[in-house]
Order: sequence, then structure tokens, then C-alpha cells
Amino acid sequence: MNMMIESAKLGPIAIDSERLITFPEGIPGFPEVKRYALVENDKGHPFFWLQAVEDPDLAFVVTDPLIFKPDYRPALSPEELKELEIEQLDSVVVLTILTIPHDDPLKITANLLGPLIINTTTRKGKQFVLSDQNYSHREPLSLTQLLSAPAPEIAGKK
Amino acid sequence: MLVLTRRSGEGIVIGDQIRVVVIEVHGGQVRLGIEAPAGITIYREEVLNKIKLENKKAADVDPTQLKKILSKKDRPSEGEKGPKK
Repeated sequence: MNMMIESAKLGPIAIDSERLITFPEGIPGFPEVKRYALVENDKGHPFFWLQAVEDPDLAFVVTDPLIFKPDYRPALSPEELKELEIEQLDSVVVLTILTIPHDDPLKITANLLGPLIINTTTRKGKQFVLSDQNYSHREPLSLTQLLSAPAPEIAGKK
Repeated sequence: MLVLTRRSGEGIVIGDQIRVVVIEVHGGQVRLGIEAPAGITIYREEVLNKIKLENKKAADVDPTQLKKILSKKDRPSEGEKGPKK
């Protein structure tokens, strides 16, 4: 069933209420917002919007981190996997939130320290904070690499 | 805030499911052992704050700036030729 959101960033958008992603604890910094929709920005590039349902003003730009960091392997403990009821790894989608600085938008960074892990079966997600100090919350991105990548098949489309 | 004094090897219990033990006190550092149910997330405070701040910054994104970035895709040479800041 479609519902409309008057997104402050994207304008009016129609989203499928059965394809929402629930973050039971919210996302750190926004604990009160639990439900999000993954929205394609434009076809043919790897950026998506994670639009909050309860707060039309709130939206993040996200992407598949493997596009620019093919060896990215956020290590989750068995307890953390259990928390998201993850039984099979093929029902997991990993996304990373991008920060686009106002003063220099081309200095885009990815939050690899805090990946969004989504169980595509239950459509529940959580932003984990990795204990692996090798990953940064402000990993610089190569735009050339990112923009030459094909649009990935991710959670909202499956 | 409740303040308690503990020695190395001593612990505190929070509710009936969380236990914190002082493993070692050395120099200016304290090593803690924490037992909690799987659903309770435990973070170093400054790391969680870093993530919160970054999320706030990321949420402040201006969609026209994303468009600007994407325009680079159609004109990939523009970025290289443009004046450096």
C-alpha cells in the first residue's frame, strides 16, 4: 500500500508502507524516529535516500559501502547478529551514511565506523558502532569510483 | 549521579541483569568487565557521541549539493580542471 510523505528534502514522495525499514532503537542522535523508507534518488547512480517516515524533515544519503571499499567487512558479534534475528547472511544488507559538507560538497565522507545493518527478511535495522578502530566515521570517498559504479540492488528494491 | 568507590576485583550490579566489575586499576586507567543481556548495547561514550554528531551532520545534507556531485558524473573532467580551493 502506498503512502505519501511530504519530504522536506525530496518533495512529495510515494512510498510502499510494506517496504519500510524499522530501526527499533532509532538511529543514534534520532532515537525517536523508528521507521524509514529507502528511496531511489535518480536512476543510474549508487546514492539512495533513507527518508524518515515520522519526521519528514529527516533524511540521510546512503550507499552500499562495498562500491568504494570492496574489502569492507564490519565485524558483528554473534550476539549482535542475534539481536537483528540474522540467521542467513544473504538476508543482510549493509549501508553506510554519507556526509556531504556544506562548504565543500565534493569532500564527501562515509561513516564506516557506524554501518547500518538491515535484515531484509524482518526489515529491521540498526546502526551498529564497530569496535574495530580501523574504520573511520569520516572515511573520504573517491567520487570517480563511486559515480562510475552501477546502481546496486539494495534493500528497498528486493 | 550515583558515585561508588570500588577496588580492583570488586563489582556493582545494576538491576538483575547487568554486572560491572573493576578488572584492573593502573595509572590513570580503569579496566572494566561488563556482563549484560544481548539486547543491551554497550559503547565507549566518546565513540557513540562521535557517531551521533556525524549522523546530525549527515542529516543536515542539502539535496542541491547531491545534485551538484551527480553533475560531475556527466561532466567528469570538470572537477579536475576547476580551480583548487
